[in-house]
Amino acid sequence: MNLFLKSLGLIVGLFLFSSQVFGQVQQKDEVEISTYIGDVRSIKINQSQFNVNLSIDNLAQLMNGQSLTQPNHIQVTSTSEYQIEVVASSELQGKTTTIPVNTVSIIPSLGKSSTYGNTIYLSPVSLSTNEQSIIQSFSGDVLRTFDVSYHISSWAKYVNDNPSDTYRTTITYSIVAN
Amino acid sequence: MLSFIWLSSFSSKAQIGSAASQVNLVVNELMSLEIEQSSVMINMNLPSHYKFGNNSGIQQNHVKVTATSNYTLAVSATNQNFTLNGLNTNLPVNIIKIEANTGNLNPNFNSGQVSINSGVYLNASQTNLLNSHSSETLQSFDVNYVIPTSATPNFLNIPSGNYKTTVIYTIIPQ
Repeated sequence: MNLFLKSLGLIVGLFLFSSQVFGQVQQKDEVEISTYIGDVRSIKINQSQFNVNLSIDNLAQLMNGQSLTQPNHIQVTSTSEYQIEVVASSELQGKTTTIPVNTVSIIPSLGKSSTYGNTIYLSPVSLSTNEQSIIQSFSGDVLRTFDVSYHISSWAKYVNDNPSDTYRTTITYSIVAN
Repeated sequence: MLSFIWLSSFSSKAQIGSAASQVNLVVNELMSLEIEQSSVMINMNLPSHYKFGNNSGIQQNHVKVTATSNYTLAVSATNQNFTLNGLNTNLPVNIIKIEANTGNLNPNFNSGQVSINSGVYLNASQTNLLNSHSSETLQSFDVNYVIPTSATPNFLNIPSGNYKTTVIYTIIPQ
């Protein structure tokens, strides 16, 4: 009996062993997925708005100033909080004379293509040849746009010393970390 | 070894004038799984990756299955969230969508014999990616790991770096 049980045990043992050998196939495997998250900050000016022209054609405009709003003027992507700064390359240059660039104000506001809400401070500034912050966001944004209103204050006091002309400057917007 | 037995059998039976032989072919149920590419990368380092999402590109014949019966291929991740430098983060793995298609390792393998679930997102619990009822033993599947546009806000306001997770594929006989 004992011998029979032993034999049976041996047979069962062999069977289990052989089934383990035959059953030893790989039914699982794995792969490592990595996603590299970089610090991304991107700023783009609406391509159709590279030239902003404000003209002073009448006395009311000369006395009161003139405004022009550019919708969705600045487009931003940032993975973390950011600031937008603005700087003018020079005073407003005519052919023979200049007008101070600080007669132009930059007034930012939220645009339409903004993905979702977060806390954003908007600060209108008078343009300068030094960088100034106009927008401060306390969160990243996948895609956000800002409208910008360009406003010229009264040029009445420059009218005597400056001929009728086109006065230009280049304005640069940059995105920086907070 | 086999030829030796056959020869000895022949010599002993030859005197009687007849020979009989029985061949038993034992076919065990066979099921195995291999991942062709052991690591896959999805970059999120360009503005366009945030605007439109990004993907790993199609990993050709990523999952290679040898099967003699119908099966379900399931997928899971080791954790609910990605790790960064070995530490758990708040970035969930279910932002990764798994898009599978039949591969080209075996030209006789017919995609009509496989039902693939679309809209499968990576998860710590096992999710069925596809069911196969093909008679072909060798089957392969291309896989693309996708970060959809809708998921990109998850990548904001977190430290930059290499976020990792391990994905496990399992075949379950049906």
